[in-house]
Amino acid sequence: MRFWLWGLGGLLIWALHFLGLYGLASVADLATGRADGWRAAGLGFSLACLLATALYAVMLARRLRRASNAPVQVFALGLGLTGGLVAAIGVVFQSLPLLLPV
Amino acid sequence: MNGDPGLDPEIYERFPTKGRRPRDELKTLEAVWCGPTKPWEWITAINNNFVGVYYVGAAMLFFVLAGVLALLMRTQLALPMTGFLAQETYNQIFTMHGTVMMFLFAVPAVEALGVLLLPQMLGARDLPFPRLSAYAFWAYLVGGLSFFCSLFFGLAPNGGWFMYPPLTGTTYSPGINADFWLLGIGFIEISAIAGAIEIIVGVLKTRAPGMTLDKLPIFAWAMLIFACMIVIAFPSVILSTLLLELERALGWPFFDAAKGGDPLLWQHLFWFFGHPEVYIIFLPAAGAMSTIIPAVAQTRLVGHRLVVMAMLATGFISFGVWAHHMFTTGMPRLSINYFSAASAAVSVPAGVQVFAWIATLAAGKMRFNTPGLFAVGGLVIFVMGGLTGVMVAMVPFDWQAHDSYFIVAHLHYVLIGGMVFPLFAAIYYWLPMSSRRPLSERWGKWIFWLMFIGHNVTFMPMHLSGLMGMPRRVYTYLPDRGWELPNLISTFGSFLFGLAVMLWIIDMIRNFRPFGDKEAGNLFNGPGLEWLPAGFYSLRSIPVITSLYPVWEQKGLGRDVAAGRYLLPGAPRGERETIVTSPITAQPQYLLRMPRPSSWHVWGAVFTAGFFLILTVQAYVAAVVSGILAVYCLWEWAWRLDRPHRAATADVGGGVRLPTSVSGPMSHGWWAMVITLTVSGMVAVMAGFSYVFLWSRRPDLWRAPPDAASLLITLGLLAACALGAFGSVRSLKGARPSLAAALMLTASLAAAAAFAVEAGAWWSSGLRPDANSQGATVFALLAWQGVFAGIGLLMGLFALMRRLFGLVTPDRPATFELIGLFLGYTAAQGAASLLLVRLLPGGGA
Amino acid sequence: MVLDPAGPFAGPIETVAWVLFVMAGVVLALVLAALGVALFGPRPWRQRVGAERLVWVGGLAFPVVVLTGLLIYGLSTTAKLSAEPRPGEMRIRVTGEMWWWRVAYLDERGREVLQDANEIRIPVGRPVVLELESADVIHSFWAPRLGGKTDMIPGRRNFMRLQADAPGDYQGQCAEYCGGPHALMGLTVVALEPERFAAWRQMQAQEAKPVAAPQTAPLIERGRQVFDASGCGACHTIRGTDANGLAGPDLTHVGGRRTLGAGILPNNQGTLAGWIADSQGIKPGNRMPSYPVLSGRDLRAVAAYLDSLK
Repeated sequence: MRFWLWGLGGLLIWALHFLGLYGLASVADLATGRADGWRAAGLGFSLACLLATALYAVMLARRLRRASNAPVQVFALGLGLTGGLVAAIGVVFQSLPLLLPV
Repeated sequence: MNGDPGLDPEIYERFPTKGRRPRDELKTLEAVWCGPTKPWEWITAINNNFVGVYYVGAAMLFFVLAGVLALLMRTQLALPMTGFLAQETYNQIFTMHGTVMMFLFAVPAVEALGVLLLPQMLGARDLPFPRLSAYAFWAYLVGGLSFFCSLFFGLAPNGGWFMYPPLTGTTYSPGINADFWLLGIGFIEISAIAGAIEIIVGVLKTRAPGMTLDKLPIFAWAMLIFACMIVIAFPSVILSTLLLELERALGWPFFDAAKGGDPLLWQHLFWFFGHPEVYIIFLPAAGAMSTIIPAVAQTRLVGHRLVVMAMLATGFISFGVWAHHMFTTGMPRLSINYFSAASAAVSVPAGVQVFAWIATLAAGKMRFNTPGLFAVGGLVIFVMGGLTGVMVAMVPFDWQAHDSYFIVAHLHYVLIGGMVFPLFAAIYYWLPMSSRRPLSERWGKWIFWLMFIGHNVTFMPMHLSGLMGMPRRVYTYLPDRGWELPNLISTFGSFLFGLAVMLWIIDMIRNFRPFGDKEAGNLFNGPGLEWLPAGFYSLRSIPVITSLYPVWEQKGLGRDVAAGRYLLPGAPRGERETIVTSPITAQPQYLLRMPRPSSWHVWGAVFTAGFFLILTVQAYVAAVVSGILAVYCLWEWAWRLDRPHRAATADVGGGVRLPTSVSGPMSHGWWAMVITLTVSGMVAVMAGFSYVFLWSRRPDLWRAPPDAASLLITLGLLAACALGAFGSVRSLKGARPSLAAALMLTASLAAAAAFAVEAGAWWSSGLRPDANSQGATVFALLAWQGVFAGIGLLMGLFALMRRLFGLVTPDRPATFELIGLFLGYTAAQGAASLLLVRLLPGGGA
Repeated sequence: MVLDPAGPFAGPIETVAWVLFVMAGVVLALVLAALGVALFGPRPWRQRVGAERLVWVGGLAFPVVVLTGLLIYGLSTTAKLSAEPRPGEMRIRVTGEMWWWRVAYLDERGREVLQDANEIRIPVGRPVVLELESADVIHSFWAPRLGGKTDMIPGRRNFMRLQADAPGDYQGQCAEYCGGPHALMGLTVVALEPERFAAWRQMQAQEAKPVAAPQTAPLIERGRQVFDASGCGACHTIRGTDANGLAGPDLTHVGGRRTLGAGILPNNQGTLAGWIADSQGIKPGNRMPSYPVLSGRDLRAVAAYLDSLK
């Protein structure tokens, strides 16, 4: 189980980010609070996800250095790193609407 | 980091074994795996070498049928206001073209490729649940053909392949045409899920020893991700079709705005499935490209790890883009923008794969054979389609292009370039594995160029007509718009394409000779295990793998495998067997005994398809009879499962002994049940989403739930169910089988009682399912739970019967474990759904 | 037509379209060039292309840069094309029906003050807010030269802003499959100079006044009688007469419209007669039955009457 979590962690963070933003936006539509508050919440959440991805990448890199003799481990960690990169790109893209006027 | 069991890797050093194999070992193997001799044995065959060919054949049949429909459409649209097809006929034909292509061709075709190729490619003898894929195939064939025949009766659905309500509600579609679609899609959904279970368990648990995940062939990665996506995406369309059928048949208002429903709910549910669906279709084809291009260029795939990552990323991100089909619906801008961003992101992994293919071609030496031509041609067309995809990911442009012929152009470029061309490449590449003669290379080149040119001549002008204002799904158009010339050119191109397909059919008839003793062999010098010498038993012995490109890099592998110098070189127990290995490091775990051909799954498939189809024509009694017969067949099938072995362990070659059966999370049955429950869970999640969505649209319609007393009773009963199931398995392992059976039956009764109490409580509160959207969604969740309670009851009875017939022993708890899993899930699902509808929005006064 | 915008809600989209086309063309050329090198290029070139670095640069880095730029551009253009109604903007409610458009002009308080069908008249140079609804199934309002499309969904009201910068007729068509003759559900947006628009509004507000020269007056009068006797008023409204049906298009000023049948026939006495006699033949499945029972004389008379309702 942990193997898969390490290999897919970045993409899982992306999924959480997407669901979170979409959920926040849906709740914001229903609520009558200030729109700025919801935007700030979204941006904060995005930042948190990016930090989580970065942390995840750092931890992966450390494990990669340690596991340099087991091909499966190297493979999975490499997958995790590159997957994390693409996931981070997705998180940044998805945060852009919060930075630009709607 | 990996929890794999420790098989001493030094054991691998024993292989390949030396010395001669016993003389009749091969003969026994051949006898045990013999092909059909009598006529009906062709139907009861379950070997993937047969079912896979049937499956691909059926998919291509539907491709041709839907293609003929397309030619009819193009003939109608060649000129303005032709009267070639009546309006209603055209509307049925375009709906069927899309539906048959997406549901009866595209997904089954790539699934069929998996069924045919995966076992060989992984070094397994067959798929882990051979009767399941055979069942899936027959249900698909019987159901699909019957569904297609609705055209000949003028009863084909006519609401477009995505069937938006309210157009497809009873008010505006009063006939049974829409029901044909809704119920007809039902058995396709079952087929797809069954295939997904097969493929996930097959790829993760039946690989050749030593085929660690970093040596997993790229096509297997693609099929694995494909199958996982099916598990997450298909439940959404299963739910939406159920809901629309409930609305049509019983008046439960999910999409009817007058009673609180919302047409957009359908769109969310459908597209949450529909967009991943196109990536479900694309990924296996991309996996085929990633396999064929290295073979054609005779070099390793450049960026293998990046390509695996790209497929994983595609699998994930494709779930976040569904509402780009809804940019014009008036959704809030912020949400729309998220989907635009995710849609841009999802093109990144596709680009990674394209450049990996180009780099591979450059690193090797391209041979312009037919598979290579189709691969390169597909790449070019797919890139063009992907670029127009990036264009429509930008919201303002989509506001013009949506629902116009620009989108028709885009979707055909990505689907034909990303799936059809790779599929033809795959057919030309892998056919020599199954046929005595390959297809003609000379004809193949003609077919390729006709198809390539035909495709571009057909679909390139559609970008223009779309931008000139021509909407989709129009049976004709007026002459003063300037749309004539693009349409005429498109029609001409479509007949070129059709000619290519016809030539291919002729060449297939001329050359395709399957099921024989000899195959044409590895004509293109491919690197994968599927190219080793094989019979109906697949490989003579299951090799130890040390490379990602075994045929290229493991010298003498073919000779040693055929001589029986690896694992499981025969069938000493007189049974069909393969080896189950661990998911990450592919270490052998146990011996999997596989069934011989039988007929229960065939009849089960016929009656399953029959149930859905007869229900559509509203012959309710006959439908119920067919349904009961289907359940009976499935019971008989299940009854024959989980039978004792003669010995607890078995020698699989080289002195290696493996258990003959396991239970618990390592067993393939456990995995199949968990995957099935994940599918059910996703249906429940989407149903919960529907509840929340409709509540958020019309909170004024919601009334208070029944009081807390019934809640406590129901929760208590559900807890009893879970505890009973858990306790039952414990008792069985504690050598108390009668207690175990009693507890399991009690657990199932508790779940059924919980359902009855909850349903009764809501009914007594005065809520009615056809009254408004709260009633509809609450009772839909209840009905889903009721289905599980009913199946649970059957399972409780099954457990009791097994005990009564002496088939339940403490050393083999697998059946009870699986039933326990199911009942435990039922309890959890029941608790979650009842808490949802009671706590949100909460009790009123 | 998308590439021939006529107003500020279509202009930015056209620019976006050209930017996207150029982007797509450049990328396609690069991909084809790389492919060409891979297949046919000299060995040293192929060695450079045949490396994992190409996948990183061409497959990851380059697309990310391009997509980021496009996304920012696309998102800002979306923001510019806001559909939120601003105070003081003229509002027109368009309701999609199977298979025509019910048009109602609203006053400042949102009350319907003028009914029409299948044609929308707007003043040149000012943004107009369309309130889009549906009476039955999902339709979509699309006039490509004036802007993107917006769906009309039962149970919802969507807003769209339109503006034409030059006078003229702007064609449109329903863009969401609505069954039956969806292909023949067209519309016209007519943009008039502000003075002519005001004059038109004035005239439209009046009740039906058949414009008749002395020679044609008896024919027109006969037409009005046939219209009455045939029960047309059960579905159609002609203000100033007893006809007050709401199921079909308002005919008070039908003679002044550009087209008939929702944009599919030119409007003249011949087509009016033909439509009434056999609308099912022209637009199969539409909600108006054919009237083959009317004699040729009666048909001509009704056509003349309707044509006179300018």
